[in-house]
Amino acid sequence: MQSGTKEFTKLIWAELRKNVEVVDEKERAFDETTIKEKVWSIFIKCNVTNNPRDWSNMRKRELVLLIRGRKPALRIMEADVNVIHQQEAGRNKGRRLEFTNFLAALRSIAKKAFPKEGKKGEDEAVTKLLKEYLLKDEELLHASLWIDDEAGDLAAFLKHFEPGLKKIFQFFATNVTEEEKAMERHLEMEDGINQQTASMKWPNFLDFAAATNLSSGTGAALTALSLSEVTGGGEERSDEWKVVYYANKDDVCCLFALALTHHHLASLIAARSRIR
Amino acid sequence: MLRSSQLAAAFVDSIDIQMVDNIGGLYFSEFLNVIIRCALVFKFQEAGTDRIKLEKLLLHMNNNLQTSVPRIINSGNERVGKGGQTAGGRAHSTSHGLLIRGTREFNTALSTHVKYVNKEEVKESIFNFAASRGGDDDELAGLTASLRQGL
Repeated sequence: MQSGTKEFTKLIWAELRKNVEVVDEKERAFDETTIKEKVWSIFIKCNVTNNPRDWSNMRKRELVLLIRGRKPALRIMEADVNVIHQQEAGRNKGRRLEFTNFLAALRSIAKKAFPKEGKKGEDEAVTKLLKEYLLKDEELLHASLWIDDEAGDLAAFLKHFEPGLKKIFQFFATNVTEEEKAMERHLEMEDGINQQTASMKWPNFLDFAAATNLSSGTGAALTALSLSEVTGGGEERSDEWKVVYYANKDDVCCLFALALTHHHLASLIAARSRIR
Repeated sequence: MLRSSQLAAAFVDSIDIQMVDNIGGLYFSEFLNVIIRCALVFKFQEAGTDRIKLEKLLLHMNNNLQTSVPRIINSGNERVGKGGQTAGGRAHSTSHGLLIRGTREFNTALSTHVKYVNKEEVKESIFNFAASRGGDDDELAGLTASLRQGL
């Protein structure tokens, strides 16, 4: 009887411990995912707001603004943030600071900003940076535009236009990449759409937006003019031609060519920027 | 008009994938979601319900496609080989016909869709004139008579 009770108690405890461990593991995993989601949300907010044409790449300026704009201020110099950006972006093709590089950059910044915590363990410094400085500021998080129930009716309404829209989509869309296949996207083909015309990437979407004039910013894509190198508003003249251009606060450039021949426009664009 | 940031946000929000370096491209169904998101954010004068916003956006898209599609086709930017892509075109494409057919079908669907939706929706549609023009013969006869009088 006694030995039976002992064994039974052992079994119960073992089972309880298992459950406790599982719960802890799950909670930890949940926390990590939530934090990573929030960091993603910060990454998207910074880039979509300040660098919408290339939002998957965080520029140096955005990282500096994010880190130096915290209140209370983080003890890290702008030059250090610049160097960290350069290091992390340098690991990537085309010197782009993408999401994984951004995570690595935050680790380096945390170590630099909290040297005491950094000695205890890298994770403590990162946790401090995230919890006390970044995640508590809700303005930094990207607010997704959720489609509610009423929009379900809108989706049904859009069905009337599907045949036409599908063909337009296919014109602008391109083939499915291996990376997308690895993410198990675009594996199931929709009716009438093949692998070659199944994925509308961001540059393709910008082309679509330019063709349908969804945004004033995308109008510039039609002129094939790189705007980043046009430094400001102004006016240029010669005897034969005159071009007036200006950039508004969204860095959107409109080009007005007056009495302009093809040759002059090409030479001006070549001189001012690169042609895409 | 949408700001570039709103356009980027609509694109990102419509794709399920997140927390990766390259989220890839839109499915067709996600593309429809982007259109809905753009319609909800698009600032029209006197915008009414969400449905009217969407109709207005579709009309806006249709009007601009009518001018941009000939430009895309005439510009000869449908490149093959290493030339790379240009605005409105895509590499290795022979699909200008697809774009023309799509635009035509989209245009037709826009002017006829009120015939296929229920009466309450027709009342609020910005295209309700098309329903009465197509469905009510008396009204059409009255219009013809008044035109004759005018002439």
